[in-house]
Amino acid sequence: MSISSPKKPILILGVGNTLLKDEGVGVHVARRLQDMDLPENVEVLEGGVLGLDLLDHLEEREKIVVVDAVDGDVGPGAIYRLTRKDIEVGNTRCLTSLHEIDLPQVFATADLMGIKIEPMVLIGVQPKDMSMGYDELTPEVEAAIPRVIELVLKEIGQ
Amino acid sequence: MAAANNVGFAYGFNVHDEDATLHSSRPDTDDIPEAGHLVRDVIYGSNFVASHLVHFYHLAALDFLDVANAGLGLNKGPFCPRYGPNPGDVTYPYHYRIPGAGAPVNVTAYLTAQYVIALKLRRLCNQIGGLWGGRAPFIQGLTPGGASPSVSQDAIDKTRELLYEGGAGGTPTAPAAGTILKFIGTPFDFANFVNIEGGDLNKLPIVGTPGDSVYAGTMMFDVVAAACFYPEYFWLGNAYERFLAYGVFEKGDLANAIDDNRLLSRGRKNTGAKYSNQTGVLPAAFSDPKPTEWQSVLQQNVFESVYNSHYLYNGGKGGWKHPLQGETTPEPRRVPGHPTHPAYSWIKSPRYKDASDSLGPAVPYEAGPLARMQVNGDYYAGILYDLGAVGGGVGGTIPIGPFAGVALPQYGDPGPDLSAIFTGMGAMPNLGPGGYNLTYTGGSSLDRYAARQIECWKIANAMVGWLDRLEASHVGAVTSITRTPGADKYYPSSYGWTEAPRGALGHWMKTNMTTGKIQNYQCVVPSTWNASPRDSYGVPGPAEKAMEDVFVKDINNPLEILRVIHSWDFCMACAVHLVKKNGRGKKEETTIHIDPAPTCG
Repeated sequence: MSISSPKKPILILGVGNTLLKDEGVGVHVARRLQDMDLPENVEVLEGGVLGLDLLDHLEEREKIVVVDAVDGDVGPGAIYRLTRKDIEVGNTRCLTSLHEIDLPQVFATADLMGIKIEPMVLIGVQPKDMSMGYDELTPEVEAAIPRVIELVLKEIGQ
Repeated sequence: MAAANNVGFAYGFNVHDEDATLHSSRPDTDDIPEAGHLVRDVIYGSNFVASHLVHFYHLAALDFLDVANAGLGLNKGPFCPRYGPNPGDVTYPYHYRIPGAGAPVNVTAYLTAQYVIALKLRRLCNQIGGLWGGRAPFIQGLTPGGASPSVSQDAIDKTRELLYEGGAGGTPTAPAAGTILKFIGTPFDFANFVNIEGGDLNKLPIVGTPGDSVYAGTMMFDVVAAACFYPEYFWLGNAYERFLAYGVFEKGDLANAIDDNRLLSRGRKNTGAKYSNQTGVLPAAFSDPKPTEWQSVLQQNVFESVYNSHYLYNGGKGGWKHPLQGETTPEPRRVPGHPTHPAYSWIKSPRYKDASDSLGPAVPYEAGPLARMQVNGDYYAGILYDLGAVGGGVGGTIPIGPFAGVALPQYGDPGPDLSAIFTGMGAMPNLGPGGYNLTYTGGSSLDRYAARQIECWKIANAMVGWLDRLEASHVGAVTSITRTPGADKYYPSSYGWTEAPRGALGHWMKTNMTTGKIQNYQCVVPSTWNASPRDSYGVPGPAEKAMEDVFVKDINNPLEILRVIHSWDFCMACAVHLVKKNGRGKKEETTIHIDPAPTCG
């Protein structure tokens, strides 16, 4: 039984922790996209650090674009485009708390529940600094955001 | 000081927001409309149930359950392996005992399926939170004067659908399949192993072979299904038998004679045993007289030490501070002149001042569902025995597993004979002639798991009553009063208390009476009560104490420690936020986020 309202077919989801500088880049991108004029069929969400609670938002979509900080050992501000097959879930370390559920684990849990999260594209940005700092981005990551937005819009056919 | 303790409040999914809401409530009188209280209680109740579901299935159960052993091809995170085994590891049977693929009953596959179902049930709980709180988590439906949503028949009806009707006309006593009450079950499921309901597990992608594991049981049942294979944890994980609760669900039980009208009472209890004037088994009648051993909790008796914490008090490590005088000055380095050992925790050591306590002047208390249930008289050592026989009654035994037929423990019982399990494992400490040389006190790891589920059952059923009260008297009612800021509303010092799902949560605040601005704000969260380091008297916190008797067979796979530690529901992100960039960064770097913390307690 569902009591929620119908979802828009395209989801743009920015995730990350805005308390930890560049770790929050996905959320910063989502906020800027929310200020833009996007088609009616597009929903832009700040995923923050919701973990498993993201599942409800990810299911029943025709297209998902996720923006997050991604470490690929390239210089700060480097941009990645990943799909489901690029995101591997390894053997987990022991969780000390459920606040530690990360995006790959959310995807793995979706698989287990039979929730289809595809087609999904992840646009990632290489962070430089993930220390404490509310709503702060390093210049390298800040400079990457316009291009990230371009890429996101391209993914949704804009 | 202004006592905010009689102001009704409950809160949504960010309990610290709620404590802050309380501060801005008028502390002297409770002028929040009853409808506002009830809406808060419904929102908060849905959060408690969701939190307990997630704790058991998605965090703690995996310490007992090796999902890779289910025969379902699940061998990746977040499920497994958490620890070991390595190929050929002889400790394997010791680590994981729940029967899996190839066994006559594949309990592992069954419990793995329940893991998935619990994810769906959690969503139903969050839908209730969303219905009443605007969204979930991080609900927005709470105001200093009550709650913002109006009470609609539609919301009441939809909540009933999720709780027990299930689109199939279920009732609170006979809930429909797929509903919250159905999944939680009743405490009598603890011993009623045959009480497995037909479900729709066939629809789940993880269920491989029909007939292999196609059951849908209840959460109550699942706790015992896991516990039956690990009975020594009824004797392990004990802390101090000191339980503390601030109380919650302000108008949740109008008949509660123990403590105002709360569903869950405020108080302390210094023993795991049944209250001596308590009659019956479960539930303790809400209108029972105040329990003989119940003790009050006074805010002026809460103090903190930083002796073994990475903080300073007045530039040093000594002394105790009440939260109103609290100081949070981080000091990650060793403090010159401090005794030989350095601080070893980012958590302070909250203690309760009680000169009459035999433990000493500063008493470590544990908080959480077990503490709430103990204080409230809803849980005590031996309750599982009392509930034990099929269908209820006295004299329960472990229903399945290698200890089938063995009596469930009662207060003072010695540990079981585990020799059958540990054959060939070599000598183990704490094993007396008959088993663990410990006595059962009702404060063990398994008691924490069991009490958490009993609380879940109690709250979910109370929600049914809250909906009835809302429907009977409050549809369309005002749920909040308006508060106007002003100097006459300021108090130089105030505090707010409530319960997070994981335990007693308090905020203390000092205010500048001229400007109305906050001068000092200190949180004492449940995870610090439970996980605190040794205080200045050298007394360990409850979780550290609870590890004292735990024997770790394989130091590389310390599952025994996890089973004890996870019996609390720590929010380490609340207690302290420590990020080590050894995985994603080039060099090790530590970032410190000190309390008060922004999340959930």
